[in-house]
Amino acid sequence: MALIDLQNVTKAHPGGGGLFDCTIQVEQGASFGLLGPKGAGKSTAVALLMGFIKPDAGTCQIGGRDCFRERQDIQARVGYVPRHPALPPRMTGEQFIRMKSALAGTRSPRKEQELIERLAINPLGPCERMSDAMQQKLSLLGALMGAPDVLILDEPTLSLDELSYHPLQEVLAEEKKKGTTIFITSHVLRDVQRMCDVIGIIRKGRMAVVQPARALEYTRQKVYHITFATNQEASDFAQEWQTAVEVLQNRATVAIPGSPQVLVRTLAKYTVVDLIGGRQESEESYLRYYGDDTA
Amino acid sequence: MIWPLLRFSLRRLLSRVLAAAVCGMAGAMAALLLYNEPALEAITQMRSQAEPLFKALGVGGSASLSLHLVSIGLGFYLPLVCLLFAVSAAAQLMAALVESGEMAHFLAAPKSRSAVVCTQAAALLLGVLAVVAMPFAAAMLGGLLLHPGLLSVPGVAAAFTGLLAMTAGAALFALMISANRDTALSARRRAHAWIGLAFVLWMLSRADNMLAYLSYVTPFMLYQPERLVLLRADGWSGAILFLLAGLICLVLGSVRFSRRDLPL
Repeated sequence: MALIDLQNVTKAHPGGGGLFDCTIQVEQGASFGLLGPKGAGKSTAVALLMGFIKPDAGTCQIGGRDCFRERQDIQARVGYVPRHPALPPRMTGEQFIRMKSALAGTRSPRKEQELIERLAINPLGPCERMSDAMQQKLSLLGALMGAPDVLILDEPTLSLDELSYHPLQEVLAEEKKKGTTIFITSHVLRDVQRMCDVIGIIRKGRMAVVQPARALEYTRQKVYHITFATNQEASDFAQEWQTAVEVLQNRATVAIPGSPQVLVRTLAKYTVVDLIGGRQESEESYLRYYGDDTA
Repeated sequence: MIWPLLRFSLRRLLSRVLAAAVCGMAGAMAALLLYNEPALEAITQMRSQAEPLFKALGVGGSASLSLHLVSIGLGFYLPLVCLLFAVSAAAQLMAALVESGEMAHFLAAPKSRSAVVCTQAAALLLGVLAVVAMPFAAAMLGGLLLHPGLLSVPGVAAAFTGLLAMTAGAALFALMISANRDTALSARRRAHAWIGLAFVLWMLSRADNMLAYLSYVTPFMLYQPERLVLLRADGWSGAILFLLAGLICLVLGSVRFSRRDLPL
């Protein structure tokens, strides 16, 4: 049985958007990345898991308990990082850490100190004067204070720079080794690819695809840039190839999802001056699920 | 009770409590300073010229220093200050936290939403207590220094207790509204609209005998400091009803907050 279990969940927002007939299952100890652009329904899924909102239809459970009705029991084992840290502005970082420890009912100064050092957090001074990245890291630290079984992170890397990103990745990898189940949302493919075993791509509130992070590598399209000897040849090739081709003078760009064997056979009939490509960033593969949405 | 939240909320309310308490203390001191013959004569003269206005403001007789304090301070000014504080503080403690997203930190802890509402109610009531107690202390101290032996301590204490009960009831009503709103502004507006309407109706009901029937549609008719200062037993029923109404509002607010979707 999956630890995190959303079954055919629908939650429509009055202004449009939300989550529709969405099913997500995350096994214990696994890490799941929910990937999608802004407004796709990622934060709605997180709000449902945290029991902030109740579903219009379907069931939403963590560890077999209903996320809305039994949220108090669930939250005892969940660490949560909101999309916007929203730290109390006048509170200092130290006060915030103490408050989170007290709320979680656990106080471990050693763990606090270790996380402060690893995440390079400066807890001095009021939160309102801290950078967004520092606030995000403090929020993460707060989520880890209660030694949770489940981590729910809503866009945890939103404000982080590269320097802050790696310690976060390491901390999450360690949590995963300890058996913590991780649920991350992001609109950046790289983030979820690095931190998750399984990626779900969400489009307009509906799950477009759920697959292992590695599978996304294999299914990505490859783009080739071909330079022909003449403009006419480029035009003839475009007519013959027909799908997913762009022509500019004597150059053509094609995108193909699998082996380039057919392309190579077709090109044998033409005088090819140059051929570059064969790899495509996964980001483009992810964009395929969205079409114009991400523009 | 969630102690970290209580500490957080009390810190959050501190500036508002101080501002309201200073305004209240100034009002109480002003009422004491106005207790001299020329000032009382001037008030009597002005009252004869604009009687409905003075009646609406609760300015009545000044037969004793205690009655004068109740008439000038507790008839209009102090209730207004306390109600403004109550509405503003209630909006800060619930709706503002939801609006800013800070509430997520407390709701992500293994605590029930009812416990959150009860904790915020406790913070609010402590704030109300401070806002009422400080003008009372100022009145006592001022009375002792300016008019030794003239102030009836039990009477004034009873009148301020009436003010405390009325403000607590209104504060819990405002908290109920705040628990049901997503922004501080909308919580303030809604609470101001209801409490403001009831307050204006109360003033109108006092202004003219023709409008006295309005007192039946405003809960402020239960606020009777002029009876409490004379230690009349019938003044207490209103205070008790305010507290009961406040408790009902607290329960309703807690139930509603527990069941509703929060935009966090």
